[in-house]
Amino acid sequence: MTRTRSPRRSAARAAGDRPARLEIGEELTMSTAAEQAGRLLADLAQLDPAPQTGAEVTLDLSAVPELDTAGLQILLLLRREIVARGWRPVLTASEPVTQVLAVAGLSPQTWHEVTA
Amino acid sequence: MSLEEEMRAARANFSVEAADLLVAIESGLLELEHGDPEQADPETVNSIFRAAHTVKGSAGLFGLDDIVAFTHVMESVLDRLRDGKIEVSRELVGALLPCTDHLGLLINDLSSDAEPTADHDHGRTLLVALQPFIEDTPAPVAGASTDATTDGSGADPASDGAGDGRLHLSLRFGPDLLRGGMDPLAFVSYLASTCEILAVTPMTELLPAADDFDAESCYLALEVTLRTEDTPEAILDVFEFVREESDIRVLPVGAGAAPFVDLVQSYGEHADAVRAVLVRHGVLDASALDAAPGGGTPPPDVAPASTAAAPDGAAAPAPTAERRSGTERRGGPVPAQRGSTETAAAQYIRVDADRLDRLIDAVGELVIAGAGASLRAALTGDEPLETAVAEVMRLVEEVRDNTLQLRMVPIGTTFSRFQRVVRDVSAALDKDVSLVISGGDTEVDKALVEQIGDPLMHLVRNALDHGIESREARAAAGKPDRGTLRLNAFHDSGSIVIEVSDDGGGIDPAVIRAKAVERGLIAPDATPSDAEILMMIFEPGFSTKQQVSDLSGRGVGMDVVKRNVTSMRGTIDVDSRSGLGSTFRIRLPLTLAIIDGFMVGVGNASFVIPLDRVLECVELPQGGRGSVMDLRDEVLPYVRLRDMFAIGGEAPRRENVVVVEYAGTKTGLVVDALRGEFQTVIKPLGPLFEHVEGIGGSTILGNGDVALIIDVPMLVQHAGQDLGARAGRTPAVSPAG
Repeated sequence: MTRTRSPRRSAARAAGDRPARLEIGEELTMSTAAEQAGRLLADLAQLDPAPQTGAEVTLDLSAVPELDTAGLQILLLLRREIVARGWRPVLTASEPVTQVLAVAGLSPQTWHEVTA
Repeated sequence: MSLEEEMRAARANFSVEAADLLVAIESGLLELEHGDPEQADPETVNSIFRAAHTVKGSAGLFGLDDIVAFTHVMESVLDRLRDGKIEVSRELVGALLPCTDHLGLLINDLSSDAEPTADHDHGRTLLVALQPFIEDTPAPVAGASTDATTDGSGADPASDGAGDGRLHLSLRFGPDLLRGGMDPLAFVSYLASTCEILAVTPMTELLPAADDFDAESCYLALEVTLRTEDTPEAILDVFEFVREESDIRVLPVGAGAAPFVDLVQSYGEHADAVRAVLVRHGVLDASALDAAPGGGTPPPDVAPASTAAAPDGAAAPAPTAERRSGTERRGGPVPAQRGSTETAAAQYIRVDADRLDRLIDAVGELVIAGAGASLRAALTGDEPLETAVAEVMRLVEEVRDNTLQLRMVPIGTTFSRFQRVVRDVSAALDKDVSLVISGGDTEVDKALVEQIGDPLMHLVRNALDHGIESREARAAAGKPDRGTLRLNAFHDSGSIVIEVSDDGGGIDPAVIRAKAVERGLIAPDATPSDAEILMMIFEPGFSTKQQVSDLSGRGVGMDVVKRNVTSMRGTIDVDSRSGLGSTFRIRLPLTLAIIDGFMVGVGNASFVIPLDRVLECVELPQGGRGSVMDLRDEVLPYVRLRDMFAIGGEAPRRENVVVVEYAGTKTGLVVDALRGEFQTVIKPLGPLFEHVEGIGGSTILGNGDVALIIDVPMLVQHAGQDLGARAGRTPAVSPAG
């Protein structure tokens, strides 16, 4: 599937002392899930320079208009990957995303509270 | 298409499919009833259950709560049947069949804007009738919907989610849901709108490693605790459509730890994680989980209601455990069902009947145009052109045959509908009758199938009511208790023949004769043959049964049957042997649209005789001026088309006879010229000429002239009558129809 790449979906950067960010600029739903998951996991693996242990890695969903189950499980996977690398997961979310997260008992405020 | 239109289309689709499923349920039930109750075929039971389950599931998608609730009760009964908790019995089938009828009405109401025909009070009565088959259930599967639809059963305390009003939902969604277009989160959103969600935790442990992650598979698992006034069953129903492929558990909080222990164990290596979640949700404390490893003893804080409902403490957790195992069981047959629907989809497509008709119409025009082109080509004498046109015509014929084939459907589906009729009517008459169907795969034009239903219905009812005798009469006649009604179909020289026969008392010609005299249909001193007498039952207002019963003999007589059949260009006749039974035989043309004809000329007019009626052509012997001729030592009555249709002009010196046959009777048609075979599309005559006898329609010839199509049965009958009249009411041939 070829989709035009939105300019906001630039690769993550962790240059200097700016915190590492993964930006998602379009809907995160079943229709984009396969492509987004691959890209985001690749971006995460290529964070350069790699953040130090305990550093924040932010998933920026402030421009995401729509989220569904397929998207949610990508977020959960990313969070686990971030935690597994010893980083602290942070999430910024648009209003629609926040609402969907709430359905699953999640929120941007408690995103870093990973139980497992 | 707007969303609203899509929904309407989807609902219409649902109605059609549900109607098909109802037919499947009904025939399945009848099959069960006919079979040996001891050895009910599990596959039949399963297929009935699946059909009911699918109706319920689809109805749930459209939020058709009344259908869901109603079907739910039926499904519960079927589930118990499937589990062998109840057995097939006449009573059971008798209780379920009216339910399918009611369901049919409910579904029918969806697609019509008219006043609803389904009577909800009646529906409740039907459900009450099902109660005996559910009642002794330890797992009140039907609790949720009977609550709303029947009196009393909702009071079953065990179904009220004994506990503190909290429910814990463990939702592990099936991997293919996303690909199937479902969004599992939507279910939780929905619950949030009707219940108070206390806590939700996504079980991220179930997510695979990043390398194995398939973004289009569903890994979502949620542990949800909520407070609701709904029953666990009602909540479970929210997940109706994903339940099969998912692990959905609804556990009343505070009603026993065993289901929770089971839940924790089911998480396998992630048991600790889910245990922690349960504790954090305040659903159970850690000690309770540990304290009930066997799952047998409910904790002391079990609600009194639950204990009251279940005298032995161990039964308290049964509702959830039972339900869950039910869910798992259902997981089995459903993939198979899905598979079969997919195969069915691959084999059949639904086509709008109008489109098909337009296609057939167009092919009809093509045939006419082709005949025209063929004629022109022949006139040019250009041989390559003629060859080319002949090839085109061959293909046109092929297209025509294939197109007509599209409209052909096996008559079996029409026949099998009568299983139910026979069952109900014979029960109402206190007769024991079995229906034997043969020739169900005989194909016939769909339009005819639709129209033949009413006449057949009347014949079947008539056979049950008047034909097959009462039990006592059968016993006295030394016949088996169980009467037999047969429906048979077969092809016979371009016609389809449908027979309705019974092994009853037969029709007594003397009774008919007396009746006919009484009604003034025949003179008291007339001596008609038995065959002629039997045909009189098709006269208007003729009913031999002394007693007017509820079923037939309501003044809608055999004459209506005959009229219906005749309007389809068919005929009906009857064979009867006193004491042995009767056979009604309907003959119909295979199709109404296109025929192979044999063209003849009389004067300047052209006529087309359906080719399948034509036996041979001979020259009219010179000098014979009567209306019979000698055909190889056989008496052949003939009609002159010139006289019949009052065509002027002198007959040529040599006239030809086309010998036609219908229903075993041969007749000659005298014409001027034989013009050969001709493929033609039947165009109906306008209403003005509808009643012209002997003409079945018209067609347009390649050169633009109109030719009339001869209605052979009518002419044969005419010839027979003429002959009969001449021979002093003792016809040599018994006219059919």
